[in-house]
Amino acid sequence: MSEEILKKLAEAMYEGDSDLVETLTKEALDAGVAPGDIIEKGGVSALDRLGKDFSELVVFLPQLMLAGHAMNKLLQIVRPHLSEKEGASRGKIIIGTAKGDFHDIGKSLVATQLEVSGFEVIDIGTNVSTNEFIQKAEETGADIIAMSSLLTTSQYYMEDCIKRLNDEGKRGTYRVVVGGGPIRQNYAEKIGADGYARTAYGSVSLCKELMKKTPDTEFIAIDA
Amino acid sequence: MDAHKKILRTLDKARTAPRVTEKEWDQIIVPNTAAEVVKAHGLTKTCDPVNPVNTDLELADKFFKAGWDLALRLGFFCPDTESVVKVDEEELHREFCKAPASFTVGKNNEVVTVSARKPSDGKPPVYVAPLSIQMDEELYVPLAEGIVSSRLVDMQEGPSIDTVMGRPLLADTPYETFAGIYEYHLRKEAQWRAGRVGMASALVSSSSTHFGFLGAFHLYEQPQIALCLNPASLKVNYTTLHKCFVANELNAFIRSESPTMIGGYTGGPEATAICSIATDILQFPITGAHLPGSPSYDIRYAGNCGRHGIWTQSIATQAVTRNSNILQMKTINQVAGPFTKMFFLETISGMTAASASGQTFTISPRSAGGSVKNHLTPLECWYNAAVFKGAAGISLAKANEIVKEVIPQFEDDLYNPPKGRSFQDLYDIKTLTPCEEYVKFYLEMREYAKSLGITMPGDGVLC
Ligand code: B12
Repeated sequence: MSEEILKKLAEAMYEGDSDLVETLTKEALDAGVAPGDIIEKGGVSALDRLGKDFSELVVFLPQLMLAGHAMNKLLQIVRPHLSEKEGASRGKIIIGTAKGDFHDIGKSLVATQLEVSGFEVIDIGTNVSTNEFIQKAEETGADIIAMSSLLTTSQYYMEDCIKRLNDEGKRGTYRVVVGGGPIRQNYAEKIGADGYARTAYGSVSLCKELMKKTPDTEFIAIDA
Repeated sequence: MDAHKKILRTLDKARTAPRVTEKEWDQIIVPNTAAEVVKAHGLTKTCDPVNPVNTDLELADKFFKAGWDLALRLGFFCPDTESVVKVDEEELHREFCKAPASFTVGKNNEVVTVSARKPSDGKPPVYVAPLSIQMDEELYVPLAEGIVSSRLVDMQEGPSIDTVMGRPLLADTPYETFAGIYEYHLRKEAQWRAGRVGMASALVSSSSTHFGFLGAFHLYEQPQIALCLNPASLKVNYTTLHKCFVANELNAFIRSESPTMIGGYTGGPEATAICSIATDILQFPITGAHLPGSPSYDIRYAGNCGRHGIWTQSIATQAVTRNSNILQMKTINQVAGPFTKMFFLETISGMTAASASGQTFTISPRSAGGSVKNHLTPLECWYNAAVFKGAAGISLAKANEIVKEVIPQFEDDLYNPPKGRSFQDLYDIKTLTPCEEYVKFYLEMREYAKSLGITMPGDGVLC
């Protein structure tokens, strides 16, 4: 019975059907399926399959995004049933593309990968000013500010944001990660970011590592 | 005035159409409609990655019909107004038929006529260099002079700079307005030094938003080619339209562009190809572009010289060039950098397929994916030009054979390409001479292209 529900759940997750995921997750809990199994067998297994199919051009960005939202739904329902440690959200992330820059494809891929990996992601779009980044992070109580930039003329604003956080004594409140086409590890380090990843996949391990960050954690770079 | 009225109509439509969110457009309307159209026209799973250059011309014609159908169903989304600019069949037909089949730019010895080509056309296409690759500002003049010193390069577009007189060029600020003006002076000097006064340009390269363009496009003796890129495929925004008004008033020629992404919102190769076709067709009633160019990149590595990229781009190009006389432009996006074998192989793959499929115009290279500063030298530009022009007249079957020969040599490295070496590293900047080892390698790679059947016209500088 529970195997049957988990199979259906994984299928609904793969299809990105949030409503069905909601119903089946509740059913699974009612049927006494362990919350950890619901996440792993109902959610993560389907997302792994989607990731593989994306890399082979069987599914595309919109399906990944839908599945990301569905996974979020599943986690919202299951989280109260987990122990306090297990149930903690992976973290809340504000993500956007720096001011003057309208490139959104890489940023959306990163947002989706982070969401399917259990982070709560708030995508604030493109052409985001330093003020907006900081204001949104404050409003939402974000743990991580993630900035994307594909233009060297916009990447200056990443530095500006970190400087502003420092000047206003807020730097310790947020981990700051950066990435995008022209961004390199040494640049990220130079401007005082906490981490850099070259790809959307890398951004997941980066943010997971950073959530464990203590004040003396060194800069993290993921070249993958 | 007609051109202005067209843009006014677009603005009116955007302002008064019902609200649609960008999320709905990207994640639901575009993917679902494109998938429906692919199915309705019987194009499902027609992509053949084993034979990247399509040789079935009837299939290309079916793609054109599907692209047309999609254009009518979709229109362009405008993010500023959150609405869709729709076009009806009569308007699309009328504007499409009026699309220019040729135009002429440049003065004196530098006159270039851009005219429509067909698949396997023997007439060489027009080559423009480079893309907006970021360079240190002090390298702009030597690099641009070096690039345009070969007559294989018909016009100049990039490179671009990210500082102005040592100050950061912050996007969306008056620094950007000044950067447009500054680029004008640097460009004039580079073209003068290379003995190419009067050559046409595609502009404004160092302008991330519209400010650099509005500040400087009018400084050039017209007509020039105006860079009025769309914010994304199947979208138009106020930034684009600001530029279009100015370009039209100055009788300039509008170059539009925004790639579709294979694996992105548009879906798989077939749906992505028809989204590119629809983007190009819709430019005529919506922005009035003279050089429409929606290329297709593979989202997995942000380039288009691998199998799916070549297939998608070549079928979309054949579809449009066989069924119209429009001036098809598209970019070829390498991901490897200068002085890597992979860069040259990617170039053979992308440029041969493009030229044989009937492309009229291209701007390249995108060395190191365009994202590593100073990673561009004149030699990559000349090699791109020689392949693009030298592949004119090649049959699609032959182009497919060439592409099949080169792709296996680099496809495993597309996801982690070598970034190559910088301009300063490969050139003596003062004397503008490339290092010996690179010249030797460049000449070897020219011989290799010749051995594949590409004629490789000389660059007039080294050979
Ligand atoms: C698509 C594209 C466009 C489209 C954008 C469409 C859209 N809605 O996004 C259009 C046509 C509009 C466009 C316009 C311009 N573009 Co453009 N564009 C590109 C192109 C071809 C691909 C970018 C892309 O989508 N890549 C695919 C994604 C998946 O890759 P990605 O963004 O790098 O993201 C990955 C990683 O970097 C990482 N990542 C991304 N963000 C983040 C964030 C974090 C926190 C982390 C950890 C990781 C991470 O993960 C992602 C997935 O693995 C690149 C060239 C290239 N091949 O990269 C040029 C490029 C970025 N553009 C460039 C330029 C110059 C421009 C223009 C200024 C051109 C002009 N003169 O008008 C305008 C600027 C418009 C503006 N104000 O934004 C230059 C930038 C040069 C530079 N170093 O500054 C490039 C590099 C091309 C070039 N050199 O010729 N462009």
